[in-house]
Amino acid sequence: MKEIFNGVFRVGKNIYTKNLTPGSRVYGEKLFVSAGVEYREWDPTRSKLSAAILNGLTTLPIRSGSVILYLGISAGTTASHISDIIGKDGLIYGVEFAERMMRELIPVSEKRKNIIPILADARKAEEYSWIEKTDLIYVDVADPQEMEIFIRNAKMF
Amino acid sequence: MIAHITKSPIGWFAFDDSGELLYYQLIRPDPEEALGVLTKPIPKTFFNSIKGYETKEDGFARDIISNRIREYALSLGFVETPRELNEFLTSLGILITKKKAKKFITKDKLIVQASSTLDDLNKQINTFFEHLCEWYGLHYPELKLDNEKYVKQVAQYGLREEMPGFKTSSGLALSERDIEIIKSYSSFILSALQLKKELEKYIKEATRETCPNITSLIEPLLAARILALAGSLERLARMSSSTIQLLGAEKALFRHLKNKKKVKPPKYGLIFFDKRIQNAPKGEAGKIARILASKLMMAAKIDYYSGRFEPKLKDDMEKEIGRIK
Repeated sequence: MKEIFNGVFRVGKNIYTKNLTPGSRVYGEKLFVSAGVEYREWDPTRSKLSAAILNGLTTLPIRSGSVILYLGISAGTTASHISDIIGKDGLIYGVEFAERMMRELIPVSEKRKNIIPILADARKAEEYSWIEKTDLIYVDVADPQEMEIFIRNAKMF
Repeated sequence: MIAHITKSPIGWFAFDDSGELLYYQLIRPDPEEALGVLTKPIPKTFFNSIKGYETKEDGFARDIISNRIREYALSLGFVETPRELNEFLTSLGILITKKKAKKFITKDKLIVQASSTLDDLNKQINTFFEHLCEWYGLHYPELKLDNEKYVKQVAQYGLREEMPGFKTSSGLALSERDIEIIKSYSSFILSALQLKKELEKYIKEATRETCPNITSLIEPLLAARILALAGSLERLARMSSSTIQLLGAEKALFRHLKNKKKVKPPKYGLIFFDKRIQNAPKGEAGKIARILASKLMMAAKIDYYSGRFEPKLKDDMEKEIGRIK
């Protein structure tokens, strides 16, 4: 097992993150125990970030303790792995517009306690202006104005 | 001199022009309390506690707090550890989101679900019936009846010899075991038919209740299907009449948009199932569809925003339809 990024481990063709909440799965991923530590497999067909890493992403600026604004968090598949990486000292502010996806995200958030669900439109950042400045913004919104949304949020947070 | 004031999840803060902290009031680390701070205006007492400054609530102060909330939360003793702050903020986020999500879940969503269930059930009942026909047809191919009657007869009598009016048949003779399973299958279809009726009744009642205006113009079952296609009453209320007119005809519409010269635009989508359009003479159906859609557009807006019943809508529509003839 090789740590390729802070908190991301590679075994053969698969990558893993340390499970923040041992024993529980988020989206039916495989669990794997090595030297008493439980890891969760990070499926590249379910998460774009995993696919990017497996395709040779050179830098991953997410560290243990990072504070992240995640636009378009959806049901928290990718976010759960980021949550594993940043650990209990880090925090994700997860913005999602679809109430249906929020319903899936809230139980994940309740368990992990480092993902903050925010039901709001990323185009209207004023709606969640109470959040703090973040170290990093992760954007995955399916919107033609994705870049404008990113820039506006980057200016605010 | 100005005191810049802001609210934050941990309390109220005032800074001077250079960004120095002038005054603050923390709340207890309780998400409910924090929600109150964020949603209510800053209390007068807080403004009054700042003496010798002109007070102003602004983004300058909000920026400072969003930069330093961690710092202040720890140094002013709101929480003891960063982890505690994370947990507090998470519970706050969950609380806000749950409150907001509640507003999204409205009665029209029940109709949407029931209506798509009914659509699926109808398709499945048809397949079930086809299977039964093929199956029982091996035994008694001469039996020709309406779908529902067919199923009922098979469930009731089983073997062809038991059926009223049976003379001869070219089918296969069945054993007790063969007919038992067919009988159970047909009673299962019967219960699906029963469920279908209940669903229809429920949808009719619920749609009439939630959308009195839409259902004054079209059949409640059709209204429910339109609602299901739109996704919710809110979305339907925001649609233009042309969108409503073509709901369900998206494929034809885009075929037309791709190749405008060869393919004519569709005249109607789901609303074609309205009797007035179906029975209209050639050349009038499109016009009726247009009128109907425009009234539906208004009805959806009234149903969503006020919910009051407007009998005038239906009269207007009938007058307008009468005029084209």
